[in-house]
Amino acid sequence: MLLSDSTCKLSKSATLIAVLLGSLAPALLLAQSNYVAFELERENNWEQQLILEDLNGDGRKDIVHASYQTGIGRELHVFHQQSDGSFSSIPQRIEIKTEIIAIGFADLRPEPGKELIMYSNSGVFSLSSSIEGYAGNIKQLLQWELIAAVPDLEFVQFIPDLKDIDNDGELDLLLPGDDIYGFFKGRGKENFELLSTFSTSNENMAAAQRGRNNSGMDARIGINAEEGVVIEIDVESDSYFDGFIEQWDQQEQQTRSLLRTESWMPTAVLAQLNSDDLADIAYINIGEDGLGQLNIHYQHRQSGFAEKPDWTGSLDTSGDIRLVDMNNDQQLDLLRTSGEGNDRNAYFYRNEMGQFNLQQADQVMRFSGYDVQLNIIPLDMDSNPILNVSYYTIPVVDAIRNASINRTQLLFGTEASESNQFFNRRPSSKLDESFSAANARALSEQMSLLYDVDGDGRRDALYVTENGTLAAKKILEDLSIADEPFWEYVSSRTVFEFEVLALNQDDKPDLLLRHATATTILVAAP
Amino acid sequence: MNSLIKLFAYFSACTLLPAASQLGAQQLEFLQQEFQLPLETENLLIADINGDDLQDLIAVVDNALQIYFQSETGFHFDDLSHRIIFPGQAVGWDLSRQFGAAGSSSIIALIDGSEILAWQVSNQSVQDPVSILSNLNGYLSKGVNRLHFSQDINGDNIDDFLIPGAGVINLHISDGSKNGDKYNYQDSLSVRSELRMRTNLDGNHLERRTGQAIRIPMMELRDVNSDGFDDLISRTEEELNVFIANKEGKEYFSSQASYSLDILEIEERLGEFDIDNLDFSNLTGLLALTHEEILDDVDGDGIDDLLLREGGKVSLFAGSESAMNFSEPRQVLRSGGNVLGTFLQDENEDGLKDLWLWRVESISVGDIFVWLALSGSIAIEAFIYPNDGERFARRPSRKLTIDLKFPSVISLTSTFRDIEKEVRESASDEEIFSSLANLDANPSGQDLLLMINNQVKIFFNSIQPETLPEDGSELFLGALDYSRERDNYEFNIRDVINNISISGNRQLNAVAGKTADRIIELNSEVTNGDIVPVRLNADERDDVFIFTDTDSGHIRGLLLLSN
Repeated sequence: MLLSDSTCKLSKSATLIAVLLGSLAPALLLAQSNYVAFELERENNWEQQLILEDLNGDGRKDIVHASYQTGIGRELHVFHQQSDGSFSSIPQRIEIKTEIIAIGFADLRPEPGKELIMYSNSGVFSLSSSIEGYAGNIKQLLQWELIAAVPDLEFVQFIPDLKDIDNDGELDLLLPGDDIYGFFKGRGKENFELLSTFSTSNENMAAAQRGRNNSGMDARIGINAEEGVVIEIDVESDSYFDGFIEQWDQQEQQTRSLLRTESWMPTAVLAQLNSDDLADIAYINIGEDGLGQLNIHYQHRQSGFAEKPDWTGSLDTSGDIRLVDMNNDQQLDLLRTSGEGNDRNAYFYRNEMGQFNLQQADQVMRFSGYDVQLNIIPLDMDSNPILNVSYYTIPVVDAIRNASINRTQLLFGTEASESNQFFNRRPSSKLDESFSAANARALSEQMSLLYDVDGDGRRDALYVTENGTLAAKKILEDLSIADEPFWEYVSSRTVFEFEVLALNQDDKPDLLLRHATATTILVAAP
Repeated sequence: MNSLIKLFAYFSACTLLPAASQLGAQQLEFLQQEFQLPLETENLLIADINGDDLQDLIAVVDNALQIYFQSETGFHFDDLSHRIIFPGQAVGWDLSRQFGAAGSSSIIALIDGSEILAWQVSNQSVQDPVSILSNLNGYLSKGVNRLHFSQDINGDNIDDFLIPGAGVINLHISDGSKNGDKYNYQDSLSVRSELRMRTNLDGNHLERRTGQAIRIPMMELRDVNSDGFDDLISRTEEELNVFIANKEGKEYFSSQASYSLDILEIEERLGEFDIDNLDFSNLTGLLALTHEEILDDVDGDGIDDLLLREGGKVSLFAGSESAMNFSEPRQVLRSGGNVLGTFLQDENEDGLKDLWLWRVESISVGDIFVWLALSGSIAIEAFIYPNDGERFARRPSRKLTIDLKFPSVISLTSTFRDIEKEVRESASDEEIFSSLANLDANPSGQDLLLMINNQVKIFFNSIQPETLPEDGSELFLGALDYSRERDNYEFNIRDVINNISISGNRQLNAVAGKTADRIIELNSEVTNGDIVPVRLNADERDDVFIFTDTDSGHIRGLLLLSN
């Protein structure tokens, strides 16, 4: 099935996409064929988030993004989704006052649709987009000194995924403050109560030591009048006392910065870690032994979170660390990947009733390649997750002969996994693809197994083709990826990023395609 | 040590001095003093704040400054009575020699963006604060921050103030007169400033930290018209503004810039990057979208002119004492090919700065694929347009070719991985800390301090300092072994990498097998160690902070004060 948006030349305009049916296998007819396309051009398409929320309560998600214009300042632009899947051609504009640092979205008021949740350095406010202006509209929800004290006059932070943390049907807020987090329990009718606080920082550690992990290496080549051509390699150490002492000399005052200040603390992540129905807190800091430490605060229905962690474990914090449910028990397990160059090790730790044996990984897998990515994905609703590993290799012979590199997709099932292990030792399927200058456009984004593009309840392999179009292949029962795509979307612009979303209530998958200077929203048409 | 180690391409390995240390070094004596600082100490500033020629210590502890005065017997680290607790929520503090007795420094602070207070110090006593300037329209983030806001801008030996505001820096420049004890200041001048900010409030990533970092770059103050007074250059992403000092006028800077360059207009003229129209056979063609602005004296009249490069077009605008003639460029040069950049440097040694225009050959996507696995090379060319005293020659007088050779990306990745590993192992080796210092005032050799097994070992004059000629002649293109007689050069990144050695290891190798000149036994086990040389008294010798450990309440160590 070949779709085209070649007729969609006008930005911010809605166009019903023509469907071009070719010689198709019968199964292909299951895929969505009609989309209403909306293209949004933005100067900073990659710097500013695009938010999709239902602000007017019509059951259809609207497009929200922040805009800055000299003389006007910051505004939220809202393109409302129409009943036919198109979006309003002229955005609703909402002023962002200079005090606002971040914005989230939640349904707090009885009127339909979500309100804007606005964060300043001293409090949190709600504002309805359906009421013009701030007067008689804005309401202070709570007072809180946010860790970020200074608003950016041109950008605004978005805080997605505001949640009902204690599962009582009311929105709650977990807010980072001045060295502490505050858990605000929603009491309904826009009332919030500070239920508990805790710190993720290392209070027993010297201030000089906190947050210092500067070891690393940086290489630059430059041309300048002083040195001509120069290669500079900087190696930074992780000494706690690097920069701790400054010798003042008024004649040679530092002139590079008028002010340099920072305030950081480890991020507290909400995660389901034990068997109750309440989200818990996890964060990583440095233990008293100087090593990395995983900290868990279990949520208590009445008191929120304890001041001190309920469980801690020493952890090697090098590499990437994620919490993800690997065995479909609804409790998040821990995955750490680390390595250097083209060697990558993955360490899988099982969540045992909210605790981890971090001294001994339950499973270790090794991969050889560049840009190794691991995704743990339930292919079908409620099925056991599979492991998808992708990476690049650069065979010297291929590079010499064809100037090409290889991309590999591995899919590991679970049916033959050994006792206490999560995934099979050997991959159930392997897909190798070769790329050279001729099809370099296909490298703009990795193949993704995260989305169900045809809405059949099973995830598909979505990828950018060598022509820059977006296509999907089926993942077969033996976990192999079909040879031919069952769906293809031809965009007039190169696709660099894609997502499959639910933008209305018709149960048909919609899409977001990100290009260099524009984003296309494809809403499935009836 | 363990601070930033810069390994430049042209660094030669340290040359060892003869095995014998210099005479007399062994006789050096130090006052050894154990120290402890509160665990909350964020950093230390060394300054003589009471004018006794002995440097004192100012520690930032929570929301206060803790002062440790130095006396002939050293410091009293257990005396915590000299403390400044700032009023207000948002404080930016600095030091100034303006207020208080000659030779002393005062602590000055911008309080909540609205008032400047000064704390003078007499002997070993901190006086009550006095208000210097109030009703200011500044803005600071909460907490106690180091703010370099005190500076003599107009050369009258009176401190002026740079107050950060919302997207601007407000300049408060003294007019030299006094009202009682207070100096009078001209009306403030607001100059646009770019706040560099990084904020993360997204709570979905376990490894990322939550918070905010802010940097306000210092504005550039220098004399662009040779009248002996500093002028102000303000550059943002949108415009370049130059404010020429008006030394005779009521206002040192007028409220309007003397001349401006609209950078947004330049970028609009050059066009935007469009990936869909990217020429994969010439990725370096993207350089046509780049621009640069150089303010420098081209014609030798002492007044800065403006060199504007837009892609391959170079325009020269002539500066005058009070303006820049933008109506017509004095000269326009156009270059084909992929222009990397330009700079001004006297090539023919006639005292005038010549134009160096750098070009790079076309690079395709195919080239990059090949370089992933195979070594490669890129030809970089420099075209030199001599300066005739008013403008540059229409055609280059000389062309330099540099063949930049590099190993494959795979090989580079592997090599860098090995170096990083070596650095990490070196840094994480808790048994050995090292630093270079000048303990005996002998400039011919640096002294190496090693902290090993709870001992500090000192090797006097064991490392020869790296020196560069004062005129910088060796610096310019030093990596290429540049000379005016040679036009073709090769620069092999592989050679550079092969010459890299980790500083700590290099120093350890320098004293391998040698006996230390001095050994100091430490009383505590080293757990959080480091060695930091500083200057704390009036002699020409370094003093040394040796950090050993921290416990639940303190940072501890040993201070070596040169005697």
